[in-house]
Amino acid sequence: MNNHYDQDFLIDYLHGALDSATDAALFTHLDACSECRAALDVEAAIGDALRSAARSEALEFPSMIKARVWDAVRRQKPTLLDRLRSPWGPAIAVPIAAVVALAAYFGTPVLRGGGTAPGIAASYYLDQHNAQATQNPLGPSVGPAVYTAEGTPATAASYIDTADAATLDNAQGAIR
Amino acid sequence: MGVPRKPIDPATPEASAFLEQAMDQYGKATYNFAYRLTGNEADARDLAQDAFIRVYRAWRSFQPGTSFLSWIYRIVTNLYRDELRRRKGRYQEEIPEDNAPQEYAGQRPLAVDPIEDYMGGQLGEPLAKALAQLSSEQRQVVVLADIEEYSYQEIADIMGCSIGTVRSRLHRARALLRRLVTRAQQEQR
Repeated sequence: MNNHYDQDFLIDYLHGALDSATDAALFTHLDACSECRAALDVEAAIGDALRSAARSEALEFPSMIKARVWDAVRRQKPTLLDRLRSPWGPAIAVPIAAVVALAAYFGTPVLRGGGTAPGIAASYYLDQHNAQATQNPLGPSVGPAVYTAEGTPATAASYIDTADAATLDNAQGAIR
Repeated sequence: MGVPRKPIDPATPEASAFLEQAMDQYGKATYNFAYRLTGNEADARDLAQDAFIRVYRAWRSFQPGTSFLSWIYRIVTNLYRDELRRRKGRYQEEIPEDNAPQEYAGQRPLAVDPIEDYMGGQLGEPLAKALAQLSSEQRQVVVLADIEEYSYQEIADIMGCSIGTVRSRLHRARALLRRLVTRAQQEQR
């Protein structure tokens, strides 16, 4: 037989890397071709010798590697992100969050009421309410009317039982 | 093969346990693999050490259910390649992937000794010498394919290259091994 498989095919065959059709064809060919079979045996012998040599001279894992690895790991400084992820993270994260919150509070006048936030004075609402209540005391858009024992409507101040003194004064001033 | 650098997590007991188990179970295999690549124990120790430090850093990127050995071999291969780059200051050129095997007719180009010649002589020593003469990439492929018995696909994954590259490197390495072993045996006679 003059046709032979290239050594590279035999290497792939040994490593199970041929497609199934080629693998089957080569398998059949080997049965009839002593030359290819001998070449395959050579390749197989090299592989066996490599494995055998590797087994016979297998080295033990030196304990010093383990010690050096642990030493290196301990010496490495963790990043801030690492510290935040660690179980001690909250001990660091909470103070940082508090500082950020305080900075945001004091750095933003609106948050602490120091700025001139747009708004409408409370007296305006009281004036409006008083006017509506006078016109239609039972209207749905008006808050519950409160009547005194004498049957006369209470002043606007009667609604504001929880208001602070300043607001109350403002309200009474607005009604007057 | 770029194992993404993960931040160190020194206080995590899981990471410590992972590293401990990795070194206990795979330390020997990793060290021997490193030894086969480097050819000397001092470099193999450094390589194995760096690999396990990398394992510790990147332990979260290991996917349970996959082969740990393949994973750490990949790490070792990358570290070794980086080390070679540092030492040589250049990276060895890739072998062209277009190196598909061709069936041919006629006489073989290389004289092939019969199996008895290989097995009869002391094959181990010539092979060890021959292995040392391979390029680092060829040696990696031979170690992974013939000693560790990984498939071409697994080797491609470990080395971060294509199957075609694995195939061509192995073919060239094997051809070189055959020549070197034959020469060594002839010199012994």
